[in-house]
Amino acid sequence: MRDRTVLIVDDSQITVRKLAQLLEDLGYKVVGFAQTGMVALERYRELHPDLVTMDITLPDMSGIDVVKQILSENPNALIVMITSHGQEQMVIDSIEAGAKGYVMKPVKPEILKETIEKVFATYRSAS
Amino acid sequence: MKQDNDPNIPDLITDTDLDRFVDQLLHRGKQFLEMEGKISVMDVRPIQGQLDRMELKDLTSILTVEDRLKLIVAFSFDRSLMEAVFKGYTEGVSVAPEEQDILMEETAGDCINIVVGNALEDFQLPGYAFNVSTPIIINEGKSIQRYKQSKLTAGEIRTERGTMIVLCITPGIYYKKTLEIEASE
Repeated sequence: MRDRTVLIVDDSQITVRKLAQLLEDLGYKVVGFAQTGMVALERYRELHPDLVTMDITLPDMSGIDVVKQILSENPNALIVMITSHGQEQMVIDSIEAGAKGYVMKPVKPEILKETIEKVFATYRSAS
Repeated sequence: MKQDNDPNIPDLITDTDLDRFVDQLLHRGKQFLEMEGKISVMDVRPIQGQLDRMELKDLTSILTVEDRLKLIVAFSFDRSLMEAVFKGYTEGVSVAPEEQDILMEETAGDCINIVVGNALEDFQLPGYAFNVSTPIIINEGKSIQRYKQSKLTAGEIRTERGTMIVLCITPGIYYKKTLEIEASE
């Protein structure tokens, strides 16, 4: 089975590196990252990752708007929000936009693992 | 982001809630320093009484929470503390020497972003999500004055490696992003 690929979208370089390390430790292949919404869209079109991790607060646009844009181009895209926002409405907005999961920062490895595995199990058969 | 002073944006923090919000920031800030920075915290306390001036420390991260009259939150760190937090936060992450300064600023930004985002969990209005700006960083000590229409509410977290100040300014519409007073009535 090939490694599943991930695109990380977050405006913090440190968060990108920490997440990349966690994801690689979990057996995923991080194929790219983006620190703005516009770059995220470009990278998604270029890389076609199996999964996107998405922050909500980005410098140029909301992560929720990026989710909507990606899903308008690929309705099967799998996106997990990874964000510090604990507001219930933010979770609802994200899920309504089409995100398949929600992980709070600071990221706990076991929560990240469980969430991503559940997303793949629910929306993808083994590839 | 909606415009400041937009009557369609509800009040997140009233005067009576502000002390509770600062308490939450102090509580979650302590957790961040301990869990992510691996720092021993010695003491956490709100600063009592009316504040007319606040002295910021060596490195300060600032963000605004969308609120009808804008809520500004600042975390200000002794450099010794920020260096220790950075070391703990980036444990296991590859950092080149030339990246250290910029990534230390990012650590201060991550800290305020995570702590404020988590704290907002306890200050929710049904059906409404308050936006939070991306953080900006001030890399020098400075003195913040209270504008007559605004209130400064603060607390401090003392650790074995230095002190972190938590400061809230509301309404924040009289202040620039870098905390100088900009508005007249």
